[in-house]
Amino acid sequence: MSDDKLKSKFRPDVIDPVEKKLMTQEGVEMPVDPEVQEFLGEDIRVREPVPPTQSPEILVVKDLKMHFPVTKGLLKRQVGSVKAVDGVSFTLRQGETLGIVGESGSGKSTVGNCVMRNLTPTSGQILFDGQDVTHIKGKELGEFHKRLTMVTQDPFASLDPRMKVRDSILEGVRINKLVTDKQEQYDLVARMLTLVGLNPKFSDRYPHEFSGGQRQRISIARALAINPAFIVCDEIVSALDVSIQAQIVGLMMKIQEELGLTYIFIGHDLSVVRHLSNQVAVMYLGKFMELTSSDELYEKPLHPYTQALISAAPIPKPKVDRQRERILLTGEVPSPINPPKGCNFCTRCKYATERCKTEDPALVDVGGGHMVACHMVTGK
Amino acid sequence: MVQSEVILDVQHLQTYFLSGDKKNPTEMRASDDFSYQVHKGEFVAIVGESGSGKSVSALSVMGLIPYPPGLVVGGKILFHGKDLVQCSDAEIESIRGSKISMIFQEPSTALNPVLTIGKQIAETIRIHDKKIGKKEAMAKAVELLAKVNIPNPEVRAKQYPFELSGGMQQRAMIAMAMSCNPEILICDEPTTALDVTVQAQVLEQLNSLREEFGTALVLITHNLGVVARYADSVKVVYGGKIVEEGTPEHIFENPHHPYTLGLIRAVPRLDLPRSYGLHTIPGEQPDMSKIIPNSCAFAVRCPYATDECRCQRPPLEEIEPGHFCACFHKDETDEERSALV
Repeated sequence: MSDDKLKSKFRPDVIDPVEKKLMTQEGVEMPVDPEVQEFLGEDIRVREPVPPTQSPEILVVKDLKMHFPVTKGLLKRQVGSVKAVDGVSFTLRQGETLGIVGESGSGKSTVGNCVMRNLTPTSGQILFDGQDVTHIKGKELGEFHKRLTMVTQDPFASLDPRMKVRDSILEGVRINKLVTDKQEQYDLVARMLTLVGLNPKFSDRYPHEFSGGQRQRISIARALAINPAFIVCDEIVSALDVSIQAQIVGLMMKIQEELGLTYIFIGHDLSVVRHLSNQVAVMYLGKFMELTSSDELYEKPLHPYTQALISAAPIPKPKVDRQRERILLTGEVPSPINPPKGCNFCTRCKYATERCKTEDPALVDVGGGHMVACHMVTGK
Repeated sequence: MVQSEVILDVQHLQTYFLSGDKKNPTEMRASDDFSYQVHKGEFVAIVGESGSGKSVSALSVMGLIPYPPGLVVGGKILFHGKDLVQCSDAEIESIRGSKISMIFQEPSTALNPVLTIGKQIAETIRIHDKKIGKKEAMAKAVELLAKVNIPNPEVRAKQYPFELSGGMQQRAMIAMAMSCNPEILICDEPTTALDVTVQAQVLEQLNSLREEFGTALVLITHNLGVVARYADSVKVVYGGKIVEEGTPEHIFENPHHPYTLGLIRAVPRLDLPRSYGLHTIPGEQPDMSKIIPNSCAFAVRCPYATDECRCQRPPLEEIEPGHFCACFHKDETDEERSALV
């Protein structure tokens, strides 16, 4: 670096206007790669969803239940259980995205963790690529984890502050001995960083040198390094600003298109989840209330809870937003230790009848793969 | 809306923070030439991303900027004609809490975990009204809890914060902030930590309190959607400066600033088919200490930026009555604006 340039780095006021741009760009650590630049600026349009019959089923979850015991006393006597996930079933085809939305405590992250097999489900079955992975452990589990991986919410907590970006990204690769040659490993890191829109020269830095959005990109690069087929994204954009959120959403979609990945995208913001997903499941107190294609979810929400969620999600368009009907839910989510006897939503539902309070509605297909669990919709 | 009396008039507020070593400190202009007015009973929204200086502008009004490193170096904050910047601590004390009140993002950290909800509210009441008795204050606290729609207020008043859900805690905070019947309530991201359905409840609550008591609300948020529904006036903040301001109709239907446009287009829309796509603003929020003082802070990320933007600061100009925009290229954004749906 020439003397002048070095000086300008410390005294931004002395350089000419054209140089200023370069300085500030370095200052905010924008990716300088023109290709990356171009990609970040472009509008990312959604591809047409693959017709369901074309791609093979990659994940089948049948009646998944995850109950955590509540213990009491010295002998840890079990006095109850938190029914975090209580009978969830879905099928996911390769290259598709299932979005799971729900409020905090709805069990959406637990579903993700069960699929990841970070947790062993209480009952139910998880089939990944035809293989039953519900109870695998040890070596088999290790093999399984080469094929699917997870990106979590908080990029400040998920990256080891004392590991260089390169080592963080390579951790999984080294453990699984996927790439052993040092030069190849470095090339892989460079490739991954470019893929997620970061400058490859960042690989020698530590996480604290990056902003939240950049760290989330590093987390994604780390997940992609082992070349997985499936990624569970647990609230990956919740901690980010709107403009950065859009970048990450766009990035995830671009990567999916390029690498043919399958996602489970967990979030609490319906508009973000819907944008990324082919199908969306609305979860409440450990159960799916509605499961349908993402466009149909807004156009034809059937479950009262989905309707309330949609009406509560603001739309940045005053004319549209002020005319929308607002359904304000009263009360709070009941405790999952002692959920209502009938429909989980009956305590807050304005349509609730006697039947809803005693009989749990099943998730029924009401036509065209639109599944809903509500007595009012499914009728007799 | 009929314009009523101006109660808070912030003029050219400059709040700077010093960082780095003592000999050669770097100046961070967290809030730079920030002006806005709050009318009686008005709902003002300040929108910006994290680090844009939106909270600092509110904390300055409350006299809560920690010194050092922060200091209000210029401008006036006129509350009923009285400049709060020049006031003594005692004078500010008499206004803060009773005339201008504030609620924060995380109710669980704002509440004292070892005191019951009722005690905390009663304490606030007694600090601002020395004559009131303990029992009376407690009764008033229960009344306030009832007013913010907390079921069983008598029972809840005797409970500790951990026994309440997030939404409930935020309601308790609102009750506390409203206890002295303030003229202005500043809400710093009041619903960010809450679920969508609870968020809707809390916002409705705030709005109905505003209608009932005529309290002006200053809502600081990053959520554009919330703003569209409730606000009377919107200020979009970037890099410590207001880049665009106007009514929600101005901001959302006819935005002129490239940042406002980018921000609106970056929000996934629930009411449109997914194929509508999502626009992204390249780059990241700038490091405030690295923004060149006399330039447009957005120039680095802006597709319209020219050399002019990098060495001159665009003034906030009126483009239609009540709608202001600070951009040299505001007339060139037509194409992008027409892409809005």
